Amino acid sequence: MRVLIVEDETVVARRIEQFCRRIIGNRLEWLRVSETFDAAQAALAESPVDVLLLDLNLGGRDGMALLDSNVAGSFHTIIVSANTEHALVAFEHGVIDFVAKPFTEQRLEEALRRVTEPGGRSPHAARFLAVRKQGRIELVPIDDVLFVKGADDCSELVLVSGRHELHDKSLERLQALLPPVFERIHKSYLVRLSAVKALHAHEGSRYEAELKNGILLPVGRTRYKEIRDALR
Amino acid sequence: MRYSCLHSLFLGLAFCASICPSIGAEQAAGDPTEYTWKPMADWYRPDLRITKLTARTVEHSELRLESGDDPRWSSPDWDDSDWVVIERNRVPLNEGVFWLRLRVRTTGPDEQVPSLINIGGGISAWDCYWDGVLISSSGTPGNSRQTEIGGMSSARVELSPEMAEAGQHVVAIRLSTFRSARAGARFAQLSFYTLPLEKFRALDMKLNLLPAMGVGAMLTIGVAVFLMWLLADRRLILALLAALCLGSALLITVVTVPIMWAYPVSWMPFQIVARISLIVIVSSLLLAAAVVHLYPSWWRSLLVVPLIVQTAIASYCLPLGINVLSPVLWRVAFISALLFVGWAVWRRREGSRLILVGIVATCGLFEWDPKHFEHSNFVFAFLPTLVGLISAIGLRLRSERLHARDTKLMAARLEIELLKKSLQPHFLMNTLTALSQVIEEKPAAAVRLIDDLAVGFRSLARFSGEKQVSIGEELALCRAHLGVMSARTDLNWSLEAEGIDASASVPPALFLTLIENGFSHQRPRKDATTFTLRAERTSDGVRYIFLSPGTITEDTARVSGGTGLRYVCARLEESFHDAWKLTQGAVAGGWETVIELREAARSGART
Repeated sequence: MRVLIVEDETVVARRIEQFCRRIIGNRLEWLRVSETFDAAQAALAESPVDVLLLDLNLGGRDGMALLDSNVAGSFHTIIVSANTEHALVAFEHGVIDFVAKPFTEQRLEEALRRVTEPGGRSPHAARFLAVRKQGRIELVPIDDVLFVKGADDCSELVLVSGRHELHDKSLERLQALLPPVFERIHKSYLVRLSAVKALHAHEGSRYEAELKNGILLPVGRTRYKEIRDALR
Repeated sequence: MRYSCLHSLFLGLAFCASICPSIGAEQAAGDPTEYTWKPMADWYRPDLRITKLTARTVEHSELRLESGDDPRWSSPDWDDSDWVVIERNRVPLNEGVFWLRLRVRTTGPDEQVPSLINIGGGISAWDCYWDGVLISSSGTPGNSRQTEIGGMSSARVELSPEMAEAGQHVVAIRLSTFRSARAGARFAQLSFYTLPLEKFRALDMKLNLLPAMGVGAMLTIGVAVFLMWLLADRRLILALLAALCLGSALLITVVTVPIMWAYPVSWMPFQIVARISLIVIVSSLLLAAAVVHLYPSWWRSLLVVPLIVQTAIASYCLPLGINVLSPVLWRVAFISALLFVGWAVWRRREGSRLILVGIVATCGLFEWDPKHFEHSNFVFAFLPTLVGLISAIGLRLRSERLHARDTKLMAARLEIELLKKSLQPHFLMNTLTALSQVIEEKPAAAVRLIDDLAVGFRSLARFSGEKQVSIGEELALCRAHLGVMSARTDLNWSLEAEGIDASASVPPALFLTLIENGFSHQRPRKDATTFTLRAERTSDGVRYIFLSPGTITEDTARVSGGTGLRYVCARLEESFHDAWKLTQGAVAGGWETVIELREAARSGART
């Protein structure tokens, strides 16, 4: 696991680092600490990370302005901050967890578990997904998302309007952020259940979900029964 | 020599300004055996402009004078064709007993016969004959001041119906003028007119009504403003305004009462002195009110200049008579007021335009009819100036009230800001997080951190509600904060103070905020961890130079004024009003903030 800590207070950064090393143990591939946001951006550009532990107040700068560019990345972001008034907004913008200062090792472990364990989810679902678009960040309301299709290490958001947007996060990582109304119907598809009109069973144990707009999406054999029950 | 020149200058000024219009008065001309007839309005105080009241159905002949005393001169048939024709304001002074004669006739198809005679104008003693019949006496004319017995200033005589017939009548006046002399005057003045009775009554009402209104209005405003000064707000401008109104009421009274009622001629000099003094006092009060409202206190000394000019003119030009002197004194006052207020308008002082408009309007009304400015016109002519002054005072009171309210709000806001500093969640939570780590790593350092944190909390709690604290207390707070930051950042932060008087006062958390700004907007450098505060004496106060060490980050908020800088400026404004200045900028080694306080009493530099 690759971890980047962005914290400008030396002692606090040291504490986060110690906790991370203890929690992640030998699964830790490398861990870096950056004191400034610019140094963090350089570190991210140099090598990909799995989780970013970010302080929202770096050198007097308001971290909320920096948040969107981070949550648009392929990695998960955990906010470690004293500015708890920003927590809800941070969740809405797609962070996996918000650890308020001062924190215990157990609380940080809980946050990291959401990243490391399969099926780990954010305690508060996101309301927006930040996508990179022509060098800028655009916020896509989750209410506009019809389904998400996995595409290698990234995902393709299909919106109600029919528009397609690419997101840097993998399908698994997006699922951790999306609300429970999105169900994994296939290893490559996350669908808003309310958009499903019907399930069709075909010969050869082939299943499909028909959306209200007529689109047909494949349904995994192992998930068919679970989806059918959910739709009832 | 200089004295003579000055005297000549004042005399010249007085003549040029005022006397010229009256020089063109009509001169008797033509064959002395022929009478020159004038409409009654010309005789009846033409300067009062009441021609409409005086239907021209009565005419007066020219006035003729003969020295000496002969009872036959009262006869209507006496031939006075060889008597000297004089103007009524050129009656000789101190020449013993002499006689004046004139004729009165009715004219026109709708003849209105004169039924009332008014005689006076300051002639000290007279006997007045109407067609040879003695109808009025005042005092006893005499050939010397000792033998003369002074009478009343004027008298009115109602003619019997037999006397007041249509046609021509002869008036003969036996008089002496030893007590008529006004200070330095060369001539006495005869006031003589005839009118139908009903017109007299209408005239009296008109002559008395406007001055009475003026006195009433000025008294009311004066008393109201005085009470406001006494009970509500003892500021100088209100006292001056009250005095101005009450003085004006007194001036109108002094001018009007002698016209309305007769008084002993021996009192006349006092009336003139009182009138001149009141003109100087009222005009000085007007100037003082304008200057006190518009200028700082040292300007008040300039008020002496117009006062000296007025006093000099009043002293040297008294012989010219009150009718000449009065307009000159007013013009000096108005010109001075226009100069003072005009300068204030140019300097854009609050309320100056209102006062200027008022004074210009008063000047215009004064020039329209200068002779009756202090009498029937005063209430209207002076009103614009009063309105301008009162409006300007009202504006000032309103802005002061708004400022006081803002100050109160700002004080409350600043107190909250200060309390927020001690409860800043970001600072507090980061400190607690660091404390958790320090406890595990270095328990002794953790104890120091807790101690510094407690000092900071105690100081901020004590400072709340204070407008100023001693620099000693402020520096203790700063050092406690730096102790906390040292524990949080693993750096050894310190504050060096140079030339500081620890007992001097500064707003609370002033330098603490500059330190916080340093941490927020600069990146620390391990080789530069010392904040420095230096005090320098200036000619009128003290200058504090504060250096925050560290690398400057590109942060526009710091230059344009973030929360911290706004707090500092608001605190300085609260404590020092306009007597402070803050400049800041990047310097070698960090960020420098210079605060200059211009009040020597608040100096924080060691002497």
